[in-house]
Amino acid sequence: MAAAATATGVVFAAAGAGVSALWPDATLPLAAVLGAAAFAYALHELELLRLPVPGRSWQVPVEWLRGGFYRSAVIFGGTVGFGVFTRVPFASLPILLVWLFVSGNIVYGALAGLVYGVVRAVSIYSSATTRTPEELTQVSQRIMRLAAPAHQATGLLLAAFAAYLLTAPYLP
Amino acid sequence: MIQTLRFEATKRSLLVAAGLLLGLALALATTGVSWQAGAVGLGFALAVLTGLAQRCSA
Repeated sequence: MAAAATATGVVFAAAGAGVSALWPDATLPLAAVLGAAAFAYALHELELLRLPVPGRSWQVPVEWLRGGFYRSAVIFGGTVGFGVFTRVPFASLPILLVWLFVSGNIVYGALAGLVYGVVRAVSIYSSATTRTPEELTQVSQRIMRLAAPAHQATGLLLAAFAAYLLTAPYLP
Repeated sequence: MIQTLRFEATKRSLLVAAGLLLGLALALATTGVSWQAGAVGLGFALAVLTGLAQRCSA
């Protein structure tokens, strides 16, 4: 999962580096557009505005996960870790990927992708101590109850990111 | 019920305002430094929060 997320970060940052090389003056306007998008998605995350979030409803097919534990783990983690092939419930992910594109720094893209992938994978270990399907269901329900606060925290951070991108480049 | 809805709407509006102020404060705090540096930090914060949040809907 972490490797796939790192690869995604590298791809977006490398694409942005290419665009920056062709149009060196594009960074500032792109950052302003991203700032406006981040603000709109902050309102979306806080349910003050309804916007479509780029993503797909596709899920990893069950047949892909029937080839042994390690093979299944690699296929599932690898596919989900890219972040762009499956459902995207939080608008902060596309904003993060577009920011990696705007930054155009491949090392930073790799690190940010790695951080995202590791944090996402680490949180899975919260269910590793469960012994029965009932315990696993309880843990999942507890985690899913955190979805609303997570959307609110995401909205707060997106608003901060928006304000930063729309003001910081123009300050002396 | 209506009071609960009003409270929720107020809370969300305050979260937007708090986020905007936080971003503005960070922009002012990093005046004189490359603006990309602060954005890099916020990008990492987005990466951590998004990674944690994704699990809540899995």
